[in-house]
Amino acid sequence: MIVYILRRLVVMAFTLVFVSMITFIIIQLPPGDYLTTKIANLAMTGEAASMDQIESLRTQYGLDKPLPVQYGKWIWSALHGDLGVSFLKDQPVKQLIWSRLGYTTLIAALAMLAAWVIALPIGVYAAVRQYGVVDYIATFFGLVGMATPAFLLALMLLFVANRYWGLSLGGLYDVEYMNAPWSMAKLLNLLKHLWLPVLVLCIGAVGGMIRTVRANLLDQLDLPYVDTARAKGMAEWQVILKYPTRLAINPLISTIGWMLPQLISASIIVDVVLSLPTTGPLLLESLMAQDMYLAGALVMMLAILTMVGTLVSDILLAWTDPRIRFEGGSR
Amino acid sequence: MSSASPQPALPPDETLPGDIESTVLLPHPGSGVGLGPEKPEGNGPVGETELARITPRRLMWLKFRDHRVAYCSLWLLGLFYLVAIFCEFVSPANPWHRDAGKRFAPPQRVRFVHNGKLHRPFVYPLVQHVNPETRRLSYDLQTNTPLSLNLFVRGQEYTMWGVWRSNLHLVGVEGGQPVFLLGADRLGRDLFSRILYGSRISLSIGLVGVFLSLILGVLIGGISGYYGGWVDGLIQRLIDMLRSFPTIPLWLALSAAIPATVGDLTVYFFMTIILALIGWTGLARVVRGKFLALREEDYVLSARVAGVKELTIIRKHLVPAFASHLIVSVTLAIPGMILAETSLSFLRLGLRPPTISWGVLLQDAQNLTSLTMHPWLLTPAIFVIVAVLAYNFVGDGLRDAADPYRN
Amino acid sequence: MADLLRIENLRVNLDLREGTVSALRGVNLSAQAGRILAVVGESGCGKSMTAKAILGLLPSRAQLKGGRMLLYPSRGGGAPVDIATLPRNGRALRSIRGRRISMIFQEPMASFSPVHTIGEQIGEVLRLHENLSRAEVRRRVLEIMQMVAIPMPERRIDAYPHQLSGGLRQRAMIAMALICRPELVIADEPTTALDVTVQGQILTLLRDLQQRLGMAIILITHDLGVVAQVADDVAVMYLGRVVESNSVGEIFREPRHPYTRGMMDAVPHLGAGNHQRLASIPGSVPGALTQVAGCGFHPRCPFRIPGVCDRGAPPPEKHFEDGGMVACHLYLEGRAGFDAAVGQSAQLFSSPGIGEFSTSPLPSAKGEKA
Repeated sequence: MIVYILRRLVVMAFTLVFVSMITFIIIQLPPGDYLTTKIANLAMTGEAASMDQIESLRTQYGLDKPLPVQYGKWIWSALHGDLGVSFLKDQPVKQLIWSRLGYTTLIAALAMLAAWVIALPIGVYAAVRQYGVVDYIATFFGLVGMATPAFLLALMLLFVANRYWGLSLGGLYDVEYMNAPWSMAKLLNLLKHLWLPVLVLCIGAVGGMIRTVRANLLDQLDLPYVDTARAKGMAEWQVILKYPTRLAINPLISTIGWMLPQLISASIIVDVVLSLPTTGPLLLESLMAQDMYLAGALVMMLAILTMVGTLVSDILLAWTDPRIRFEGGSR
Repeated sequence: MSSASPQPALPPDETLPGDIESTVLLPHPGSGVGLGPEKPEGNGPVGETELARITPRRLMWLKFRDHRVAYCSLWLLGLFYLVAIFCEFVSPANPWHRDAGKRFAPPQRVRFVHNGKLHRPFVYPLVQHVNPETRRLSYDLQTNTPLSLNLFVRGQEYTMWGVWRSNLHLVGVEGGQPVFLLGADRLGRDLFSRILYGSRISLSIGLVGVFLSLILGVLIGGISGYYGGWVDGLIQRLIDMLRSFPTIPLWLALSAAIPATVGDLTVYFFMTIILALIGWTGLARVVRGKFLALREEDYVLSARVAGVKELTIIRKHLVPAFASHLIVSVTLAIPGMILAETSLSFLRLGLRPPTISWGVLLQDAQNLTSLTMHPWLLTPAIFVIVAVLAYNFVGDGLRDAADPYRN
Repeated sequence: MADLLRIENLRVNLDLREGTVSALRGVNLSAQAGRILAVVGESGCGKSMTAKAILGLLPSRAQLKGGRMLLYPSRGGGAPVDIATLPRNGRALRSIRGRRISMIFQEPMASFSPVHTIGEQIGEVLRLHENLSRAEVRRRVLEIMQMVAIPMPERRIDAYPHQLSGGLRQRAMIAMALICRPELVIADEPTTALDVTVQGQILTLLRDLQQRLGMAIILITHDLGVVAQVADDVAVMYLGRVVESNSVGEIFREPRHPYTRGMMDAVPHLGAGNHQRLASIPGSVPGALTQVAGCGFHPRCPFRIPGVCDRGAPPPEKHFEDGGMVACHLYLEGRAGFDAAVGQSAQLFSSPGIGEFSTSPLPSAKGEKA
């Protein structure tokens, strides 16, 4: 098992290098760089910048160096903990992304928890009482939830909340609390705003989970070992919860690790719609501005999260399924 | 099974894997009587049920038809695509035509009762009022002049597929006046027509993207699965690395990379390539998995032993076995593409005006205040949801139909 | 010997999408303590369904349409319980399952949960029916594992099913079935999924355990070799009915029903010569949806009597003095039975080369029971 994890970590390191290269290339793909975009924007608003200013800025940001050198410089300082300075915001990248990543992860984690708590019982019930009322309703809502892109859901919820309840629910805090020190009131205020993005993400995820739980359980319910349990004299619900449910959930447990980065990814667009101070809007901004350090750091963070998530998933899978655990733990 | 003692195992049921044709017992519903009583001639075994030969393909289609929701969804999608192909004809108006007198006009509902009496389907015309202080627009209905809806109306001119010029529209109002069945946007353009035109882009981008994904996926996945060994290992590593990339940031980054200066058609193609680049790994996995599993199947081995050439084995035995799974995967991949395009266009990455797609249309819905005052701007979302749902249902139906072990 | 379980006229219908099927059309069986009843038949004859019906494990699409299943108290007097009337999954039935009647399933790998240890799964039966401490449960589990000859039970008790060989798994299954000392054990094709060498061991084990514990065993099988090795009584099923039953010696010596005859005949004989084709019963078992009027076997029976066997109700049972039973028109209404019919018709079960139908005693299978 340990060997397995170590091997995966090594692969992860290689992957990270690969991902960093791709990230760098993609961010630099649009013709020009941060400065050309900025100049164009300035030109549109009527300000002009002199050629000397531009050149000095360019040297200052190191944008005149050839690309491989820029890449090397970026990686080198990143490995030393220095994520660079954002051109756009003129602040150290680390400062910028820290709190935002925190909120993003919090929202995604809450959404995942909520999704599990809702999807499991409903999925089990829908499978056992197949074609019953609960089954149809759950399937329907699940499907709609899956079909609606998260940001549309956010839009619609915002619209409904505004139109029918007069709430204005964007952002994470009301204005008064935004920069206030932590307190109970602030926490409550946060929760008051938090439930919307959590709900949006949760709905998107729940649909798929219910269907998976239901499908997995249906597969298991026909298997012989369920009859064996019944033949021992077990009560029906006990039979279902102890045996096939356990086996139906197995494949799902492994999705935990991978679900979190997935939700974070989905939250990006949602957050743009909801104007939350999280990773999403910042990423969008920095990409469009070609802010190398900021965008690069964000993408790398997300990539690392995704890879860690996959690793956690695989470990969980091996751990919960004794068939894999006792055979070397290789996939 | 060798043994010293006689073991007359009575023949169990036999199933034949992988045959091109399968024999199916035709049930006899209702009457419940098979060929029971013996025939008077009485020689040879009697009482055997009829056998019919049905190809797996037809069997799959029959099972699919049983899945009612999937079947209806298929028809619905067919309708969508029909409309998309003939959108110029079906739309009541030209989607780029601005009517300043109808900016943010609310939807004109189709009614059937006028002055308490039944009337053929009609709408009431709108009159615009501008509040001089707030500059707000409002509309009143003129309830004394019903405008009937007609079929095959002459209206604004258009060019069908860039080739044909005509002004015949499927639906319109008598006299050729503009009608806003789903309201108008901020420039006074008919939203219904825009949605119909948008369907052309939104629905086709998915198909093209998935087609490209398919080619990539089958090629790479097939090579990986068929040859196995280090080729497989290498390709799988590559795929794993690609998959570690969080998808949405990848989309965003790639879409942001499309230069602002290229033409609309080029943007369209770039988008399909982006969508395909991200989607192919899923298909490659499916293909590879199938190839790996099928390689070891007994009937493949027996074909090999019988001396059949490798290529023939692939063509005749392997491909039909996973073709159905491939169709399912492809069908289920399309909604993802539609959603991706919608999301990206919504964020102003990718497609942009004057190109019309559902995502582009939803750009107008970004402003919450505007949305609250003009909720019909959100209607394209419904079309997106319905299209995605329909594809999901069809994909599910296909998957259930393709699985030979159900029921 | 008093009956422990008596099944009378059991009828079960199955709701398929294409229609309703009579899966069991009036089954009569009885099992006694200390004896092994083998229920034999081809696939689809309803033997597994009968077993499931006894434990109330029929699938939800199946309905009990009639008949009784009487379970007699093993000690003392008292009225029998009609299992057929007990609500499915109700407390009464659940207290019978595992405790008074238990089942050994066909495929031990699929019949165990892969994510629980076998010790846990075996012990669970005990925990369900008796109130014991964990240590006591563990002791009893080890005890039963030893009884079924699982080597090194202290190690195996914490193993997972996939870590055991097929034979050991089946022993574990047997242990699970016996741990509460049931009065009746139903073994549904317990050796089908096993290697030939292991089959013999398991059968011997079952026999030994029965002698030690004294329970009744109903053994479902399609393999005549198994029947020959361990059975005391045999019931032959075809199309949802028992067409013949007798003690094993008698049934091998003198099978009465043409179907039984055909089965026996299908046993390849050693020394029968290289060029003789194997005998087989012509035709095949009709599909589930076909209804056969009269006797279920008549379409394939070379001795069918036109006008008698092909109409009306299936032939009623006729009981003989030696305890045997047969449901065949050849023995009713004064007809002299099988041998007379043989004399009248020359061509029998189609097996060119084998020639006449043999009425001589069959060579015994494993030399023990014939």
